[in-house]
Order: sequence, then C-alpha cells, then structure tokens
Amino acid sequence: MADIWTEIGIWVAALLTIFIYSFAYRDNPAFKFAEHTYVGAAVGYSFAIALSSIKKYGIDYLMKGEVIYIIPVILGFLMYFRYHRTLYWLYRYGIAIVVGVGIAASFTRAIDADFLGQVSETASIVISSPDPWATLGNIVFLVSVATTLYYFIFTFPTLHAGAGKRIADIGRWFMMLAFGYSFAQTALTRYNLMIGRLMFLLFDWLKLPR
Amino acid sequence: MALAYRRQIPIVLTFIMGLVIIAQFFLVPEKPVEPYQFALQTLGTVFTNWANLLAAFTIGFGLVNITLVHVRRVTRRVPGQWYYSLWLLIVAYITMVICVLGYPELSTLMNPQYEWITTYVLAALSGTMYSSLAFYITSACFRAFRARSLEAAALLVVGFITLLYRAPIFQAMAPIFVDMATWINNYIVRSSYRGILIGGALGAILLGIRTLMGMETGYLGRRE
Amino acid sequence: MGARRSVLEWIEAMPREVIYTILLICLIVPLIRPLGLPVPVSPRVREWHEYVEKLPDGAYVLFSIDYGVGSLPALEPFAVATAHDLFMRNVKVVFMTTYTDGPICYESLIKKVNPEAYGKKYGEDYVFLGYIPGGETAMKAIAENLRAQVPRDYHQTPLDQIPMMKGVNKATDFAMVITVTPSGDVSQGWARQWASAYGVTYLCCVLAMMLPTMEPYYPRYCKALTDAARAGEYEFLIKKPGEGIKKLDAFSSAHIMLITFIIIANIAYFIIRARRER
Repeated sequence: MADIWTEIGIWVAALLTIFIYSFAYRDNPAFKFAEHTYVGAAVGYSFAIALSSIKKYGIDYLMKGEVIYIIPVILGFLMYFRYHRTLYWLYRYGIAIVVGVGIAASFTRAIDADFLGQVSETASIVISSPDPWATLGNIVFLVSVATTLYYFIFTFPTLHAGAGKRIADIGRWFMMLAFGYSFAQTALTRYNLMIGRLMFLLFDWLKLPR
Repeated sequence: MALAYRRQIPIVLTFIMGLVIIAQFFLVPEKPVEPYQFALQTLGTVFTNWANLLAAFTIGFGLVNITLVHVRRVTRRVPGQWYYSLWLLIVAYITMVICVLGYPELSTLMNPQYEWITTYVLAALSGTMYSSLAFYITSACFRAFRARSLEAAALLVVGFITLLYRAPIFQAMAPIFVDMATWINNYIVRSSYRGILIGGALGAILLGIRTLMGMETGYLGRRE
Repeated sequence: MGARRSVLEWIEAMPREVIYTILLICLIVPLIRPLGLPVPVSPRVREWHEYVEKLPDGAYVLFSIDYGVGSLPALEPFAVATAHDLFMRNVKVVFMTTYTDGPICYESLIKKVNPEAYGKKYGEDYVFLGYIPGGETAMKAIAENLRAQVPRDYHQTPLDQIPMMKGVNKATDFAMVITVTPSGDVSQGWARQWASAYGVTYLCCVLAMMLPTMEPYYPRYCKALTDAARAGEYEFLIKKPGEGIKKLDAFSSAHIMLITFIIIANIAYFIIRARRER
C-alpha cells in the first residue's frame, strides 16, 4: 500500500515539476495550477510551523508556570490585528519588541564583524610579497577597498566632482568586475538547483538506471 | 492621546528593548559578577526569547493574508482567476490540517500523510520554482555578456574566466583559469565586497540607532 | 525586403526556446551517460575537510541546516557529505535549523546519511533541536543560553533528559559551528553572533552566487568557506560518492554550452556591427 502511495507521489511531483518548467516556454493554465498549488502548500505548512513554535516557545512555558510569558503570547495574538481596519495599531506592540531586540542584537555585533574587523584586516595587509602577483594583488586590494568606500560617500556632492569623480569611477569599475564574477557564479547556482530536479525526473520518475 | 498608544508607546517600547540589549552587550562580561550584570543578563535573555516567540507568530501571517486576498477573489468571481484562488485555498487548508496533525513536534496522527505532502508536493514545487531560474539566467548571461563597450568587455572577460573556472573539466585540464579566477576572487572580489560590507555596516548601524531613537518608523506601517 | 534575418542576426538574437532546449539537452545527457571527467578537489574543500578532521574526540559541533526545500537540491549533497565526515569521527553533532521548512530538510538528510551505519545513536551522538524562530536573534539567544531558548528537542524530549546535552548550554561549549545556507543574512548572522562574539570556529557553505558576499569574512571569522556546487569534490575526497559527484559532468557540459554560445554571439555581434559601420 505504501508503495502505491510512493508511486502516486512520484507522479504527482513529476507532473507538478513539468508544469512549473512549462512557464519557460510560455504562461499556461498548467503552470498557474502548479503555482497556486505551491503557494497554498507553502502557507499551509508555514502555519503549522507557526503553531508548533508558539506552543514550544510560549505556551509550554506558561504551562510550566513561567507566567511572564503571558506578555509575549498576548502581544503575539494581538499582532494578527494588523489586518483589521481600525485596530491595526495593536500589532505595533509586538513588532516593536521584535524590531528593538533584532536591531540591537545585530548592530552591536556588526560593529566588530562588519566594520572594525574588516578595517583592521585590511590595514594589516603587508603589500610586499615574494610572489609578484601577490604584491600586485595587495596593491589592487587596498586601492579597491578605498575607492569602493569612496564611491558610497553621497553626503558631500563635491566629492563626486572633478578628481573625486575619477576616484569614484575607479571604485565603480572594481565593483563591476566583482559583480561580473558574481553573475557568472549565479549560472552555476541555478544549474545546481536544476540538475537536482532533473535527477529526480530521470531516476525516480522515469526509473532510468543511475 | 490616541497618538500616544498608537505610535509613541510602541516607539518607546522599541527604544527600551534596544537599550537593554545594548546595555547587555557593553556592560555584561562573559562571567557576570555584579548583581546588576546578572539582572541585565537575565533581562536580555528574557527579551530575546520574547522577540523569537513573537517572530514565530509572524510566520502565520502568510495564511491569513492569502485567505483575505483569495476569498475576496472567489466571492467576486474574478474572471480567469477565481477558480485558481479557490484551488489555492483548498490546498492551503488541507495542507495546514495535515501538517498540524502530522508535524512531529505537534502530533503523529497523520505523520505518513505529512511526509507525503511535504516530499511530493511542497519540496517538489519549491525546488522546481527556484531551479526554473536556470533558464532565465542562461538567456541573461547570453545577452549580458556582449562586448558592447569597454565596461561591458571588462564584465565579459571576468565573467568568461569565472565560467571557465567553475566548469570542473577546465579545473582539471586547464588550471591556469583556476589561478586567474582565484586571483580575481582574492584581490578584486573580496576587496570590493569588503568595501560594500563596511559601507553597508555603517549604514545599518546608523539606521539601527535612528530606529531606536524613533526617527525611522517604517516598521510601524501606516502613518496614523 | 529587410524582413528575413541573416543567420548571424538569428544567432545574435537567438530565441529563448532554442537556448532552453539546448540547455536541457546539455544537462540531461551527462546525467544519463556520465562522461567520466576527472574530479579536481579545490583547496577550499580540502581546508573544510581538514577543519573537520582536526576536531578532537568528544568535541561538540553545532550543525545548522539553514536551507529550505527550495534550495534542497543544491545544498543537500554538501550537507550530506559534511554529515558523513562528522559521523566518521568521535564527535557530538547538534543539528538545528533557522528555516521554517528546515525540519523537512533534516529528515531528508538523516535518511540519506543513516547515522546508525556509523554506530551513532540519537540522543548520545547526535540530536536535532528543531526549528528555532528569530533568525539572528535566535543565534544570539542560543549562544548565550541554549536551554532558556530551546527547552526540548524535535521529538519533544526535554534537553535535560538527553545524555549528550548535559553541560552544553552556550556557544563556548561548542568547538565548531557549521552552516549550509542559501541566505546571506543567515551566513552573516552566524559570523556576527558566534564567530566574532565568541571565537567559535565557523565553517560556512553557501550557494556559489553568495560566495562573494561572504568573502570579506574569510578567513578571519569564517575559517572555511565554500559553495554547495563543490559537493562532488567533497564526496570524492571522503570517498562517499553521492548526488554531488553525479552532477559534475552536467556542470561541465552546461558551462561549455554557455561559453560556446557567448563566444558565437560575440563573434556574430562584431561581424554585424562591422557590416553596419561599412
């Protein structure tokens, strides 16, 4: 019995996969059907996860006697009022806690990891090296970091005029080369995803020998 | 008065939450010794757990939102759309019931059905949606990598070297491209992205401070 | 009169249907008939493996499966290879996820890895904490006080009743944190909240296109950084062939196709431009 359901499942998954890929050629009812199935399944699953998390990280604490958790549980339910025409402001209390804690947690650590650490790592580069390519690379590295940072200074418009514009242009060139590298990597990423699905179609659905 | 409880109190609440976390970061060492350090540590932990619990509540917004949108489409019989919306709602609620009754952390009543729907419907559709971009990225690479100008040529050269580098066959048979791409990665890509990261971090820190000070209130939604 | 396009003009503006069809052929053929191309192992993968190899006996590793079912086909092979590498050693692995559909990915991963084949027992050698909401805030919370945030594991067993979780409660109790994720926010979050804050050795595997975003953290905060497409190299290195190694020929043929198209399109473009200028 389980084998029948597995086989039905494989066929359902394969057909839905083909329906989604059909959009690459043109929009069609099969794609729309699969797309709406995806959205429905995704939000249905997410709601179950939400219930599970609320129970595990909130209701269970209340049941254990930690009464203080009544505050976030009530605020959490009030957050659903964001869809109400007049009482939408009730949702702001919950989101205020999420935003306040989230922002503080991230930027306190970002001071070291994203700013001071990066600056000190750059400042500690020793330009000269036995390898001439590494020496060139270290010079390029320092110029690139400086000019890229310079490019993003928009507070003083005069910095982007005259000689300053040339510095910003150099920064822009370095970023363009970096984005070209990143864009080419994107192709590999998408092929990696697609090959996974093609392997399912070929070996699990069509049962071709592996 | 209305403005106080609608906007000002939430802004003050954001500030207090942020202040406690910042105070915990700066004033509490790895091993607290003073009573105020223990108090700050406990308060910080409690508020962090509250924030994570509230984040869990937001996961459920998706179902509420699509229910409101698609029920409206069904009741208004929007031509060419309403039957898809009806199907979406049916799938959403059936999936929700199966997952609530089958997700291991909640219940094991419908565990086989939960595994079936997550493996053969959700995982299949999710993976395919993400992977379908492979088509578009191929045609985008094909059209973008043209030497129309000096800048486009530079983009083409770097992109070309990267494509050669990432193909396993060229990694094995022509390691020169590996050396070239590694040099580009170590000195050009890393430095550019470091500059972007530092700039972005400064912006994020300033935006964070402005949000905690109540100068940025976008997260509150409507203006009133 | 000018309605018919020349061959060159057709190539330069090749219809997308043709591109997509050729792409599918280039991806499918090597999967059915592998070309048997050599598998080069990159320094980044070797470095990753060395960090795992150097883990002392009894060390605790936090392995965060931070991907969902959407990116499972790309990221799972690398996660599976890493799990194999960990289970070959005498280390304790604590799995968790910050993605809502992460539990589905954990179930799929553990089925493929089969820890019992290594003599590993749930609760003694590995445990799954489940989905922890909050993103970076969750990473901060479990770094400071794991039990205050996560009272039970995925199977509803209180952490105090799980043998391997005795005495493990914060970031400094872990020798290493590993994440496999498509998200820049998640990979940066671990760098900020664990690697920078507590000095925990951090290994990060991302999608290839996210690699440049994480490069500034390497090697100071992120000791080993690689992308999921290198799963085949990792499988080859640890001698556990899986899905990653099967993809390598298809990567090669798809890239050769793309490179050929780009060369031909640029040649066509320059010839057409020269003709127009004449």
